[in-house]
Amino acid sequence: METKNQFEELRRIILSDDREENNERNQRLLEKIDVLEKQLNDPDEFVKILHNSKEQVVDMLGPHVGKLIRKFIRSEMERLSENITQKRKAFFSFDYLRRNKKESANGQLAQVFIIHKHSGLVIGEYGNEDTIEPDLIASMLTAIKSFVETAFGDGESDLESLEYGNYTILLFNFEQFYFALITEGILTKEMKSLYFDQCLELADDSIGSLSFKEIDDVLTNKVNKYIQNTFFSTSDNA
Amino acid sequence: MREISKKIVLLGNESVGKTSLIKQYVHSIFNEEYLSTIGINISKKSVVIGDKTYKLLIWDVAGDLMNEKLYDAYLRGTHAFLLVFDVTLETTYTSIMQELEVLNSYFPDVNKIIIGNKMDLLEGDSPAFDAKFDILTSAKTGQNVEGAFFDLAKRIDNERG
Repeated sequence: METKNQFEELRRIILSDDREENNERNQRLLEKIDVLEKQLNDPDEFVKILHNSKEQVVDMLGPHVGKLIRKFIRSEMERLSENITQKRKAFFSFDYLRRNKKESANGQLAQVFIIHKHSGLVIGEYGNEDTIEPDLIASMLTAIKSFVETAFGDGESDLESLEYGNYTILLFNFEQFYFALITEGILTKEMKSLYFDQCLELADDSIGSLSFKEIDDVLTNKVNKYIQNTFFSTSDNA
Repeated sequence: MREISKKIVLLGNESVGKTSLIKQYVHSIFNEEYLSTIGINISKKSVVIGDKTYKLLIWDVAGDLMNEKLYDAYLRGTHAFLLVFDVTLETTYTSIMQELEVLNSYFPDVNKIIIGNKMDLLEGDSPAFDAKFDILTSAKTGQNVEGAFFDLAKRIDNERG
């Protein structure tokens, strides 16, 4: 016990200077904190501090702000991309095209033909407006198609489209017949792909099973209805 | 009345009067400018046989069409051929006879009608050279032109039975 008291006495004697110094330092720190507290409570003073210490502030916040900005931009880009995808899907759906047919002429269908590949006879056709002489148009299209495929191709490639002014004629070829879709306005790849899917579906479901040994009005009336129901029914009712 | 569509191809040398025959006969014809570009012109005519209407799509193939592949491409899917020669020019007859031989080998079951055109220039009833034909016509006067196409439609109809 006596030893412990002696040790305490020794420590008081040796560290008395340090303690005084610490007390002074603590006092100064408290004073500084008081000053800072006052300055932080005063917006003008705070701005002044930031202004005077901007390099330190940037160094200190830079990495964190950078991460935040990157995270924000990535998040916004993801939202934007998703938004575009959704709008694109909606825009290029057939329902949308049908609904907005009258509002926008871009890539809209004016007329659809199904034409016998070799004879050029009309198997079926339907359009929003009556075309003068669809039989002549179908035959002439077939002649032009034969001409291009024979004169410029190897005979194995098919002519896929013709463009004239504001119109594009899309040609989708099957074994015995081909589709000629007359579209008006700008035609995107997505729309072309959608139209092709519709043709494929119609060919698989209905047209492919028909006989073309004789092309008469019974056959063409039936096919006309198929075309109307596939490509034009909703728009006509809209 | 039932309406049946058929593809008809008109063949013959350049000066035999094929296009004049068409102009004399059909109601509607495609723009003639196309003829010089792709070697073809197309017209339409309906013919009534009994209770059926035959809608004839007539392909007028340019007589000087040299491209053999193109020629073949235009002939595919034909239901009847009309071969026209000039009754005053034997060479045009010889030419369509050669053509007929080829057609018989490639399209043996397809109807072919041989027409001697420009009969208005004949001094007698028939050409001055030996010729086998189905009908004589005059695109200038219109004589027998309607009959030639009616005969064609009738043959198609008979073929159907």
